[in-house]
Amino acid sequence: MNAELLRNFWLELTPSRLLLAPVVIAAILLVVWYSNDRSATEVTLTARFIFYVLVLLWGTRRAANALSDEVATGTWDAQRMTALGPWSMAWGKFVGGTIYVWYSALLALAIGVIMDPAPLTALDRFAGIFGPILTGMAAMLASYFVVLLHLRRPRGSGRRTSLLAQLAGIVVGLVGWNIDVQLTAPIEDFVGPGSVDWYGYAFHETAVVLATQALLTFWLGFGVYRVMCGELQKPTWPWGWPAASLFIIAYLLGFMLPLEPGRPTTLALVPAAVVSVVLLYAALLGDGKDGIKLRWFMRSLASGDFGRTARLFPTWLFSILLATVTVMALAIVGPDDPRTALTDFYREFLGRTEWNIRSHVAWAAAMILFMARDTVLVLYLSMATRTRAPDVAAIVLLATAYGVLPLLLAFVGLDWLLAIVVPWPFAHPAVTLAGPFVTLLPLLWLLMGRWRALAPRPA
Amino acid sequence: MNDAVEPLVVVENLVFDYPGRRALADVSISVKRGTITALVGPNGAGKTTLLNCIAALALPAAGHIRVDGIDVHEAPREVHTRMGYLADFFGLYAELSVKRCLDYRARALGIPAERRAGAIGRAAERLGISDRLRERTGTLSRGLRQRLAIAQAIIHEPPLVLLDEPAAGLDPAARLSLSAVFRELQAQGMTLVVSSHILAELQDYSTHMLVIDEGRVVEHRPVGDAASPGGRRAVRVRIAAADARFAETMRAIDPTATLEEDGLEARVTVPGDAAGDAELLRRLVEIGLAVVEFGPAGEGLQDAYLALLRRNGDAA
Repeated sequence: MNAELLRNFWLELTPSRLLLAPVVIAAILLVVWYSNDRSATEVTLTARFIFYVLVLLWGTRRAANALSDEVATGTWDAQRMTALGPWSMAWGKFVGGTIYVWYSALLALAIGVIMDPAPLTALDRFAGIFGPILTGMAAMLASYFVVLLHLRRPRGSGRRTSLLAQLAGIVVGLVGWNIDVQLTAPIEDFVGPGSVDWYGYAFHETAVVLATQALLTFWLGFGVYRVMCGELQKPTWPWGWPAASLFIIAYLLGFMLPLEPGRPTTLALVPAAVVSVVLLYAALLGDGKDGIKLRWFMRSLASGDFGRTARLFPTWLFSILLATVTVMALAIVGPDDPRTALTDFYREFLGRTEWNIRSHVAWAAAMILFMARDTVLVLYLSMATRTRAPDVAAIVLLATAYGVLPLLLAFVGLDWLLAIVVPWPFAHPAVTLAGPFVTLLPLLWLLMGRWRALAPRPA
Repeated sequence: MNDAVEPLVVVENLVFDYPGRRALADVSISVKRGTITALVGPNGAGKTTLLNCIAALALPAAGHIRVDGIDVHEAPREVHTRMGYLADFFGLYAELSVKRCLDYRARALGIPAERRAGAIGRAAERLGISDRLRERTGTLSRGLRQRLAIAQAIIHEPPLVLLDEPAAGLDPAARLSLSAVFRELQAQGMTLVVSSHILAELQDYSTHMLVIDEGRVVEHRPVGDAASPGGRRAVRVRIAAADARFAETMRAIDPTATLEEDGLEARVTVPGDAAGDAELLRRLVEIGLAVVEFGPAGEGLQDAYLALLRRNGDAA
């Protein structure tokens, strides 16, 4: 048996705890049963509610603490010194750390499924069982993943990391819960599932939702495994994040392709570009951004030590390349087809019509420059020695730059300045391009200062 | 592989940085099998960083480390089955019993089921905690917790054991007992690298001294009675009554020989073998000196370390 799993069993599954969970759940459901005229529907809904509360509030906490407690109590280094591989360590700790939550939550779910009086189809019943389980797994894995990602940072893991990780898990879980409720709603409230086209094939909506949840769970689990490889110093090549990124884009494109006849190819490029830009920011926030490791990466690359280069490869580097390629593709393909989807976007979303191909290309170039600027900003904040939460600072600054400032400029009638703060296609191309430079260049200068400060001084 | 010749640990050109500071600068060392190496140096010298790199807990900027012929950063799991590590700040599972802590570690290190009970028994016996197996870890004293942590580190009887400040916070009796444990582990064929600030304690059991300062290896050599590099070692000679010929003879053998003020005792460096000792003694007896004490000068680790620091200070 997996040693890490067994250790957690020893700690979590004591006879008294095993007895306590069913007693408490049964007591709550009995109260609901008697106070609602012995309504099986109410018991089902309450049991499912208990399941979600347990996995979302308690499960995400346990998943986050499964690792952060080890770090806090000083047992993590000893665990890293064992012969347990990344896969055994990852799943042993995840399943083991949350085993009592699963024991309690699955008891509640089982009662909910058994007591459900609704005449559900086999697929709906299947979704009613596996939808919540996948939601719970995804939520807990998200928490676990965030803690692992934080371990790679120079400032390591702490109480705040656990809280942040739990919040991430709860957000993922709430989305899943909402979808599960839609799928398992009582038959009279249910609109009824339709079919969904994916690369031209029609699938039952419930099956697509379940598959999406399963894929999310799979990729979160895969992410946990890959980060654990790094923690346990297992040599790996940096294909995990690129594979996940390309999969997400390909999976989402499946809902748009094949395009209807006459629709421009840009239509498919738009979501690819949007997703790749979103993934860049996810990579920037998720990456360790350790300035020292970045220096070593450059050093290894320069010296031809490609094994070490691969291990030190920053995830955001791939993402910025991918985002640049997709945005450039949008710029190149766009001018060829005046009826691009961007026309609709500009007209319908931004209420503008006065755009041309030059401004479109300038806008795409500005977008790349803004991404470069934001990357420089995040790295600059991360290389600070005193900033306690560089990612939070980055999020606040970026939200101000892209949210508050444009609104403020529009409000005071300074629309012509928008190109300085956001990629803006309606200014003169020169202004559109000059905009990001105004902030990129000083930030780059500041970053170089911190980069030089990181250099080891001679003893 | 010839175990008698091939070093157990080989570190080549290791580089490790912290922001604005090089923690390890081209460190290259080799540790012979069956030795106990005292890893010493001032605070922030790079001792813990070096141990972390050898233990495959940290990837260095450059350089390679092999333990028992295996590259630790290529096959860390494999190396961990041949290595035990007690970190400076270690933790234990307070809710588990001593036996379960050892059982968990044995399983995590891949010890097969049929050998597990024996391994737990031997580790507990070696560290003198056999009578505590049923106790909860959280109730143990600091000294016993230290012993349990070391028992966990050696449960798989690895050829190499790394210990970072193993005696920190222990009372003198517990330290003494720990020294005996380390000597016993060495006698059983294990190689130990021990980092500590308590030089007097290291002196009790170390065979080698590895001094690191500002990320560089300042010295790595045998200590105590063992011969220093170049095959020479210090000898202490005491005579019954003062005699001018004593100083002349000693300085003729070693111009750097030192004499006590009363002229009765001298320290002299001779070739590090029995023939060197015999030759010195023969010359003293031949000229009619009444030699009452003759033996190794017993240069302590602390003496050697302080002398080294003085030398480095003078050089600077």
